[in-house]
Amino acid sequence: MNMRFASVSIWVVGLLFALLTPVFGSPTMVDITFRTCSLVVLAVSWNLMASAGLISLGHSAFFGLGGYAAILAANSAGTPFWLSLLGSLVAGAILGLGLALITGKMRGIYFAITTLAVSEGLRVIAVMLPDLTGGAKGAYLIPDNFPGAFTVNLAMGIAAVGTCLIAWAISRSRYHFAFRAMRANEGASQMLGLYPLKYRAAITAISGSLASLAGGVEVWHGGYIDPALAFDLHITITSQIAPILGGIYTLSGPVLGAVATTLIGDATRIGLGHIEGASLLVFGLILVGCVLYLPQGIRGGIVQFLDWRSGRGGASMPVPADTRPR
Amino acid sequence: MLKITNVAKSFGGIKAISDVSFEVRPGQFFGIIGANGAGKTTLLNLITGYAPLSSGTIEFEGEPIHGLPPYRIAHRGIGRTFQITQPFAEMSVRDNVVTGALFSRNGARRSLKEARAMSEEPLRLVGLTDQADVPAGALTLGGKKKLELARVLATEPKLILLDEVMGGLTWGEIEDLMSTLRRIHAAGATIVMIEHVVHVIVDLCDHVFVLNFGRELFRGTPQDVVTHPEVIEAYLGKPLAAGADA
Amino acid sequence: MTPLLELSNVRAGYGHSLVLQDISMSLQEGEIVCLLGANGAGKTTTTRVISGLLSTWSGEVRFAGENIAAVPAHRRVDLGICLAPEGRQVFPNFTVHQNLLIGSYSKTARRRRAEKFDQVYSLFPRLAERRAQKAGLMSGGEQQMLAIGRALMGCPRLLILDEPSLGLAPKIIIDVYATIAAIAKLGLSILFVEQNVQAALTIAHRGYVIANGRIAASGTTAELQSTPLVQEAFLGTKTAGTDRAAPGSARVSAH
Repeated sequence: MNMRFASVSIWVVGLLFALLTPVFGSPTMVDITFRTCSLVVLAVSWNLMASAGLISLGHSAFFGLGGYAAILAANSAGTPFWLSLLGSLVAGAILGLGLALITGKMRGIYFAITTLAVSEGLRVIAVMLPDLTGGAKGAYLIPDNFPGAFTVNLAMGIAAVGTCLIAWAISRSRYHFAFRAMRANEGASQMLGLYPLKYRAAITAISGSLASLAGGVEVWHGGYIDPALAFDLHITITSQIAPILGGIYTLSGPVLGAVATTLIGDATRIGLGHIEGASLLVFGLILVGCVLYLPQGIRGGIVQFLDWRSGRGGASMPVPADTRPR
Repeated sequence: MLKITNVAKSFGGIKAISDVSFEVRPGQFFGIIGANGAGKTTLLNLITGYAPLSSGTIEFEGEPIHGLPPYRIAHRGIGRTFQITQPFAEMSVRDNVVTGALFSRNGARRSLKEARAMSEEPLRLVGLTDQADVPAGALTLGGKKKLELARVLATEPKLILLDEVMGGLTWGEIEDLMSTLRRIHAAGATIVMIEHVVHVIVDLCDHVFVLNFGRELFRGTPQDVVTHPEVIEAYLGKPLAAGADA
Repeated sequence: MTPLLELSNVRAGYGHSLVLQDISMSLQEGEIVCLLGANGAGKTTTTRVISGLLSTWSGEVRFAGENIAAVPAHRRVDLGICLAPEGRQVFPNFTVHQNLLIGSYSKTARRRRAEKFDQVYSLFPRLAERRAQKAGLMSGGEQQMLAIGRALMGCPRLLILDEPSLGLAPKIIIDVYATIAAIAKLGLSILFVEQNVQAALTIAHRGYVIANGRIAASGTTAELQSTPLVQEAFLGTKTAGTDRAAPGSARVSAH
């Protein structure tokens, strides 16, 4: 019961932190929180798909589409900030649904490659339609409707909190059962009456709209978008590194991972930025180390540590490292 | 209840099932036996929509079900276990069974709490209550076979298709599971069972269908089947047939 | 005489859970020994410990007098310990011939590959007929033959078979057992796990009954057959049947 109270408290403090930093934080704090919240949205979104057995290698597709949806709505129709974000959400959901329908029963590597192709395809389309998107030169947000930096920062905080709440609600619903069953064995789950396409479409739509929302807020934050920025492979990669680092298929893992990735990235950049390439190298080494020594992610490491401290789980028994079936 | 008419299935020119017809009536306990590779599991895959028919028809409660996807066949009230067990390995044993209760034909109206409560009975029936919180992947083979059955029971099927549920079980466990199956049958379920443990078929089934090289070899009561010379020749083998009477 | 295989006070398990509480057993050169027991008793875990797929927490595993507790699985194949695992686990996309080739991957086996191929193909003429067929397309019985053949390709001194009769038709079980007996005549030692106790006792010299991770009873097949524990739990001569084999219930030649 104590553990439960502690973890709920940490959640509440963390989410309040995301909402209150734009109000009270220093400019540096606001900046770090903004980037962390953006990654939280992407990481939780990626993890939602992964938990249904759908490994996305194209999360930048949603992110970029969300960015373009917001900027096009704002520039061409003068749509106000919050309404343009709704546009991002809808665009992401439609792309997610489309992805579910295209991929049908595809799983594993086939699904992953399709998402990669979709992302790359969207990037090419953005380059090929200069009249609409500004092409390779990119597009600037017309500053008329700019709601102010505070509102944009707050919006990302709200997006992160909302994303976590959605993930939490899913984890307590029948969807949680459907996704785990599909991840384990889509064929066998059908014999229990589960219609996989329905749940696949639901999760890709939810996950897609969330990632698009992050892209939408980002474009208001930066005021500029171009195809290379919007559909950057880097976004795809960080949105899966964070959940893997934090603890894949869990609720808190992607959030812990997003915080850790942002902090490690900043620390190496500030500490080693003056040596060419060194910060990325060290960042990479830290990630490799984490994957090697924390196979269950940061969350798994914490759980293990707490188990060990409270002396539960047969800690009196010396357990050799390699007792897992190989 | 289940009517199979002139069903055939070929895989790339190789005939796995040719011209099989039989009918299972409500309340029957129907056995299917045959050598490894005779087409028994293929037949179950055809009935449950995992593979399309090459020709023929399959009807359930008077309506054709061939061509339907597996989840819709499950919603009609057909449940099946898999010979090669297919547990959701990372989920707990209980959550595996809860999944069955949630997505079956009545599952949509059921809350998570109700589904949890519903999982108790199947777990108890197969004797997995003590291991309910273990990840399903950690069960022994016999445990996974029992889980297959529990998961199907949670979908409240009218017709249950069992594909070698006794494999990997010891004598004592087989006895337990047989009495469980008798109870399920007595409670109104119709059961079709593929099994290699011959005495189980003889004790439980009222009608046995023998497949050999994808064709019907023989059908009749269990006693007729185990004494039929062709069945002994093709399936039982001589030494064990003598021992089977003991 | 030093036994070929000797386990003394072995404890082992997965993660935090102890499966083998205390296993001591031995096997002489040329012997056929079967391991019996309920589901979850620790039979398969015992075969994993002997073949090196799982390391022991404590206790000794000696092979030909040498402690092999620290020897990894692939090196144990070199020593002559080969396993045909539960559920066959042939490589479905390899042909029969390729599956057998993989079986002779170890250094010692590679030198005797031609001789072993002849031996396996003469033991299993069915495999010779189907040498170019993909293993995944074969029937259960043929796959079991292949799994045993693949283990034989590793030039075992000790062949371990985990549930060779699982999922097989009665007639095929007879074939498989006849083949196991034929393999034993070649002078190999065989340790096998079996639920089908009637079949097991027809070819084994001795057996051990494992219950709750301990040896609950042991003896020659004749002795075991007359043990009430074995009769009730595995042979069904008494109808009770439901009584799980508890360590305390073993009276005859219990350790």
